[in-house]
Amino acid sequence: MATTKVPGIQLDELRATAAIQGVAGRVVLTGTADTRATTALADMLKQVHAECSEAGVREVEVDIRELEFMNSSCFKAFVTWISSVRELPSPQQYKLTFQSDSAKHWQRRSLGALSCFAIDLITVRT
Amino acid sequence: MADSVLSRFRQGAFPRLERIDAGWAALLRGAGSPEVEEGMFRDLHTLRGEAGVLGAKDVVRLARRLEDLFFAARERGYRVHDDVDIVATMAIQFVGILLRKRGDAEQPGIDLEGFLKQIEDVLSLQLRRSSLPPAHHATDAPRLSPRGAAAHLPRAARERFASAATTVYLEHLRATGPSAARLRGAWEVLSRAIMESEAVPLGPTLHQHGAAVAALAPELGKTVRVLCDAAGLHANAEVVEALSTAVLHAARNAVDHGIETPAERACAGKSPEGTIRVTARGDADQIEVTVEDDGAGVDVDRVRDRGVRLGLLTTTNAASASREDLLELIFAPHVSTREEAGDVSGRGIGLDAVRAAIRSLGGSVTLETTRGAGTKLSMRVPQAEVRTDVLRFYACGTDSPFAVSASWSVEDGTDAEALDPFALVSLPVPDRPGDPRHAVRFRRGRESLTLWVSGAPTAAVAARVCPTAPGEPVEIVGVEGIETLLLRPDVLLTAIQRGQT
Repeated sequence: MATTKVPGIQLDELRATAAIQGVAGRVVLTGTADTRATTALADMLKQVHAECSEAGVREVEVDIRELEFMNSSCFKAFVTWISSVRELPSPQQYKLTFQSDSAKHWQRRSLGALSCFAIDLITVRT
Repeated sequence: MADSVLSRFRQGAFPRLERIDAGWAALLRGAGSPEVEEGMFRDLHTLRGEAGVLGAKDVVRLARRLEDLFFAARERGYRVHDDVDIVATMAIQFVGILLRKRGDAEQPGIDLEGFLKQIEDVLSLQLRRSSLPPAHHATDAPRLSPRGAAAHLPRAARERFASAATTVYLEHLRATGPSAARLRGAWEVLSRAIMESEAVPLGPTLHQHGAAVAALAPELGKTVRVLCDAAGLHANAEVVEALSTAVLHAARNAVDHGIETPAERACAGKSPEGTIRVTARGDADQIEVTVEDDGAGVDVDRVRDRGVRLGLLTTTNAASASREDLLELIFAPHVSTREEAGDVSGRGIGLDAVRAAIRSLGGSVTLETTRGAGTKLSMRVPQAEVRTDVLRFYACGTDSPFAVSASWSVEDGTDAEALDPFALVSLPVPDRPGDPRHAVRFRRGRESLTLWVSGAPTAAVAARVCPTAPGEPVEIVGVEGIETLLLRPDVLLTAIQRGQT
């Protein structure tokens, strides 16, 4: 099965990869997503959404287990992504599953709030 | 509502939201002026008012809570926990989504109630963080900074220091003679300073709250001795901050609800002076803080009655409720055994706050009580984010330990692709002809790195004594007290591809 790779992020503070295989996507973030990474992250997620929409993806796994921290401006990029998914016609909407680390307290609280934007589309796993 | 009216409202509302968003961000990074602040509050107030006129109840509710967040932040000079920033920023986005709805139409998938609860939780913790005792309760114990225990080096700065310290450590391994000793000394100073900036002492917080509570007692007609023992414990700043909130409420509850007046104590055959013990103990896995008093204990029958009166229990349920069930009720919001709220407690917002603070860290709270003898509240929280699971291995024929994150799996590699771990970090490769060695491939997803190692890698837990950024190729960790070079294969692979090693 062909794999589509979306250009990732290689900053000192944040590394991100994204790939689509069939109807499944996977985004992995490691490091620290703060102001320095906001633009790069927003661009990457926009690209991920475009590729997922094009490929008819059904679910994207977002692995942030090794993400040490994400600030509010980077979370905005995720809200934008979620909003874009919601704006798709229902049959084309895809699910987002966040793989999180329960030991990182900020992940628990922030993902709890983020999931309220689309409880039908977002799942948080630890 | 006419579409044209709704459209005009939206035309004005979205620019307002953008200004609110920009104002909030500016104020938090210290770049906001009084005009920006005033504009932000005015915009939000106007947006809420207009939404109310148009009957957009969801927007009104959310805007009101957002105002609460802004007010709480303003009281703190906008030096707030990251949770407040994140949830406020998301709330602004959430308002935008609600504004895009058509009228009061249901928008499936949006959980406004859940989001309001998230704000409530953050606000609750933030407000309680603000409720440190006033200045006249201050003691000789060190004062907390305005940002509480979290006033430590920013993460990015800590990581830069850690990177520099790691460079010094590697240089000391490369150096010989007196230079090696001097570099070793520099590494020890730097790594200790980094650890100290990460770990916050728990003692000052406990002593401060203890003194504040002791000072409250006379106002309640009581005599109380507060004994605090933190055993020199240090913890992650976030843990200390949450424990601070929990201990403050637990101790106030103890002096107000637990300890009896001197006359009552005398009747019960007790010393007129009550005692509250605040004790902290910790090990590698968790910290336990107990707040124990020798007061009257919880009147379980009264809790039962309050449960029925507040509609939390039916008469039938109340009759069959176990002691554990009834004690659990004490942690529910707005439950107090007191009929009238006092100045200190009695509104039932004490133990629920304790539990919220501890649960925010993945911890637990238990309560033991004996009528007439006292109550003990035990709070346990995990030690957070200072340890990491690793695979430890030794370079061939040496006792030099290396490690990689346990998120990498291990498989047999081939000799042709194997690299020496010493060479990877530009350390001299020991000359050991004939030493047994084998190639081990560390794999994560599509990435793999094969190293020469001695023996099979074993799972271990490493203490992050000098945490570098994930983009750094190496971090020094402690495994069973031994300094160990934690390699980051993904970063090293990138460097290899760029020809940097």
